Amino acid sequence: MTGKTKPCPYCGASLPGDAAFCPFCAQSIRSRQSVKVPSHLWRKWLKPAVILVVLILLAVGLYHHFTPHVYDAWGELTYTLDGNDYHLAVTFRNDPTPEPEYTVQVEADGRYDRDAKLFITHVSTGVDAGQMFNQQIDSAYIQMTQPSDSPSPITWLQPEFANDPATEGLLHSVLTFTGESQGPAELVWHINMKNGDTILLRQELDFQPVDSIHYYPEDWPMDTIEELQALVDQIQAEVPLPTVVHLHLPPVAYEGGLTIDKRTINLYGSLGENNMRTTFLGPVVYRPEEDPQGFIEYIDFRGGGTGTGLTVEADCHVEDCGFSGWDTGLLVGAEDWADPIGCLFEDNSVGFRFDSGGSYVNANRFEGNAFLRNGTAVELLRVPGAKTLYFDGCRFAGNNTDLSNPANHPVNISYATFE
Amino acid sequence: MQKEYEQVRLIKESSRGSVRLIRHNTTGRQFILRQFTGNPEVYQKLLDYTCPNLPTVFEVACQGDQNLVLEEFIQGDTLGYILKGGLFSPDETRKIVLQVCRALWVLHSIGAVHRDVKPENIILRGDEAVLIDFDAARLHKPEHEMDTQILGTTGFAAPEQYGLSQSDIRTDIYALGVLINVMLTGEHPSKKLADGKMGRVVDRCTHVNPQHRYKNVLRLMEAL
Repeated sequence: MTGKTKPCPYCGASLPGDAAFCPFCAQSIRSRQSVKVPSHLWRKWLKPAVILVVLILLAVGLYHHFTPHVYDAWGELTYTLDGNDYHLAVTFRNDPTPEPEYTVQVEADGRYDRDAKLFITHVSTGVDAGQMFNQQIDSAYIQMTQPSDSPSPITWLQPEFANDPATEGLLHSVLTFTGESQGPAELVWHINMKNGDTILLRQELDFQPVDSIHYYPEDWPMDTIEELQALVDQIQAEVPLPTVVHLHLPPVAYEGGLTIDKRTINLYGSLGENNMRTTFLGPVVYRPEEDPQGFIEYIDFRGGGTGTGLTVEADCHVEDCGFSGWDTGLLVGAEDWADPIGCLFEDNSVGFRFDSGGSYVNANRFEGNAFLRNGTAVELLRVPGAKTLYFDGCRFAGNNTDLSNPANHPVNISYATFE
Repeated sequence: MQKEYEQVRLIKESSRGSVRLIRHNTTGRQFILRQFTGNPEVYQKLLDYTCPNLPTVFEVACQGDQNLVLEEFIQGDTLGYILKGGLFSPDETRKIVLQVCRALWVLHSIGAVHRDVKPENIILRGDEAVLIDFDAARLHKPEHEMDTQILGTTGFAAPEQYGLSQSDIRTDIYALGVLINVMLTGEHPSKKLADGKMGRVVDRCTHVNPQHRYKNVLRLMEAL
């Protein structure tokens, strides 16, 4: 009670100032508020709603987990299996770098083959995972889509397991085509997994026609080493890339060496009277810059006990050549790769020396060579990569040392003969 | 008051006070006149609020420790009376208890704890349940560790009302649990627990540890 008074708004009676009720007219004179109970219905449904969402997510997860999936990508993809992430890459290279698009320079009359490969590595470490992953592969095959009017369709072999998945891929398939093959072609790797998933990895293969020029002894002076070097220098100065140059040599013995150091020139020897083949009596150096692979075929390199018969510092294929009487018959050096096939190495201090500090790797089948009466037949000082070198069909006879391998590079001589 | 009103009947009388039904002579309106000694703070708070599940408190007058409260007369029977005739179905129980929860929500919102929720203090006015009698109610004081005075009704009183700790809104939730069980079974849950989900609700309401009961009446309403 404050002592103050106020009149009742209903009957006018005098009431205490803090009165809430008029006892005279029995009316409440105090304003009141109603307390609203918060809506709790949403809370009631919250739990079922959360359970429903969880069930839906669970169902989606189970569906996702148990339903076979199709993975479709160009060049590469990451595939998760049993908690492990695998990197799948298709390429024509000798490492797992993917090549979703691959263009080949082709001459009109050329015939080519390329090795398509499937590499599988652990995403986390980059280490080869081919063997582990292979246990989960049910089947694999290749499909090719190419122009129907191609005069020389690409042919291919179905994938086979490579010997060394780390350097050759888990699976590889040899594609064959010519200068008349039409592109673009789409190469699709189908990998069917045991869990029902299908992995599709695609590559586009296209062809870039290049001109080629053939130089014949009938048309160009090349009977002496001076004429030959002059012709080589002229070609290097005048014929631009990507034109391919084929130099067909006469069956003469060149009294000196030759140097090719600007661009790739393919050298082809020939056979004359008295079984005389094109022969270089001086050292030949083959080191064109940044060019496509070169070819040196059917040529003899004959030395006087010193020097190097043929020094190759380029991507090169050496076939059916002879190396005799050199300190080193064939040297593959710098940072490059060359593969001798069907060659004869005889009476050299070192027949074939591999001493390349690069990382580029190419063909690894050094097949059909003969190593006779050399101090050391094959000397592997430095060999790029880890690809096994195969000496299938090679013959080793009368050498002081057949194989010197300080590089500890993997070699396979199980199909070579030693006499 | 004596001129304007007449006593209809004496409803209750004890050493703490009395409850009378009175009638306004002019209008014929009936009111409850409550006379008691003690703390009138909850009644004073309720002067500012209105809720269909609580009687409207029209006036509170104090002189020393003597208090006079004029409140709305709720026409109807108490749950205690109705329970003598039979039990309630789960649906009826749910509906009535939800209304009691709304009344308690108002009390708890102003910081009060009823402390004497029982069938005799719930009147059914038509379809509406009205919670009455705030003589035992107190404003909750968090700094107090124990109740200073044992109040409430044996059986409906929570363990903390016997001095284990201070009563708070969960004390009323305990009593609500007993109320539900009595409405469904006629027995205290310690003797016979209601079946099914309502039994589980009762069990949680009447947990000895207040922390394991429903946190507030809203949670209990959700469960119901």
